[in-house]
Amino acid sequence: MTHDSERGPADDGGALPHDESHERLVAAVLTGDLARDDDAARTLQRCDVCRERLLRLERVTGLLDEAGVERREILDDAVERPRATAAARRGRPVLWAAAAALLAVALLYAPVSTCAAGQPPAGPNPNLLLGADDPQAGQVAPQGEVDAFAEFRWPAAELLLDERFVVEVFEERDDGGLAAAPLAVSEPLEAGSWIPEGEQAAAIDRCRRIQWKVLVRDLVTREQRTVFWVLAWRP
Amino acid sequence: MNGPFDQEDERRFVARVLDRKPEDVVVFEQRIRCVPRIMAALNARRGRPFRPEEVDDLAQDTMVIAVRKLPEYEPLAPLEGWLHRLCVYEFFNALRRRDRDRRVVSATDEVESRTAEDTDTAAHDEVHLALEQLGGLEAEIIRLKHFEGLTFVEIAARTEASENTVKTRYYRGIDRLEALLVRINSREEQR
Repeated sequence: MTHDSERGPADDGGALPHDESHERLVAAVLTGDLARDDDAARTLQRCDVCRERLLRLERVTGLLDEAGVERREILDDAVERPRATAAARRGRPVLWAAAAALLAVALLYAPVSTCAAGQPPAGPNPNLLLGADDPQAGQVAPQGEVDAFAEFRWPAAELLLDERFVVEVFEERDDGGLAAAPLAVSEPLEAGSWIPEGEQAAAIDRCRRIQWKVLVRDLVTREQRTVFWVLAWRP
Repeated sequence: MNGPFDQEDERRFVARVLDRKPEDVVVFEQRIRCVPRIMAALNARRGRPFRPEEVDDLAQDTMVIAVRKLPEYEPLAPLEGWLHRLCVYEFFNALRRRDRDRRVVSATDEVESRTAEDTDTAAHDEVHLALEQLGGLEAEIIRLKHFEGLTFVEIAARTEASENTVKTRYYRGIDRLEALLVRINSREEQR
């Protein structure tokens, strides 16, 4: 009887011709039902076709295991311990992540005209009230009698010397998609409010539903980040 | 992800979110905040191919996609695992789009472009795309085995199938995945 070798090319005398019955053995090795040092598994190594096939399939399972390790590491960090971003370390309010998350939540509500997450403000035009990470930040939507589409207000987060707010307003279509280009863009602002004028105001006023975002722009580096994103609509 | 995963609990939670129950929407809003962190981690692990504002945009787009696709979420694994899957898909798609666009620019303008080699690609990156192409229960079983670390017995319980059926699907899935990876890699080499 020929002595089996565990690995490497089968010696000429011990080569096993491929047979369909090997498929079951390959599957059993892959699922762990057959240990690699089992006689049957070692027999597979003498079949060139199966040895090669098992190598390829185990390469795939190896890649899957690597992907699984990375996934676990990322999720362990992302879900249980929020990563401290550079902005947070510099003491800036990190609001965009919350605002973006709340935008996603806002989409759950569109286009209903009542907000289950909070009371809509008194006034002619309801808004989906989006908050911020800071519970003291207050509401971002106009209140009282102010027309939601005519004036935009938000909690004035602390700006650095060369930073300004910029507001961009987009029309939201009935299918929930946004126009590619903003309807209106404010000039750089120091305070947390903006009243659009002229053609920009007229363009916004024609819309039934808008999304507006507040960015913080660095006047020197021209970098900018989104800090609020709000959905507003007319009833 | 805290505490053992309960499939029915997760299913009920998502149903309440889709039903717009306020308390559950608030919890959902907190849970979906892992998306920007996942995106930032993917970007950092790949050598930061995207600028911070691009990562922000990617994260926002992915959250919108997650909300829209929430009715399709099947709670075989925790919600965060599903969100990670969406993030990975969107991240690598954006990377491919960016690299393809830069190759076009390079071909036409002979401008030095940032190529795929500038990104710290991992050998297992293509496996995510291949899993998406594989789809179906085979892909889910493979994810439960290799990403959630479940045994075949546990997978059988979650998918309400016999252990033998799960193993058969797993083996078939790995076999098809291998063929998909060969096709994906040969397409990459041709570029």
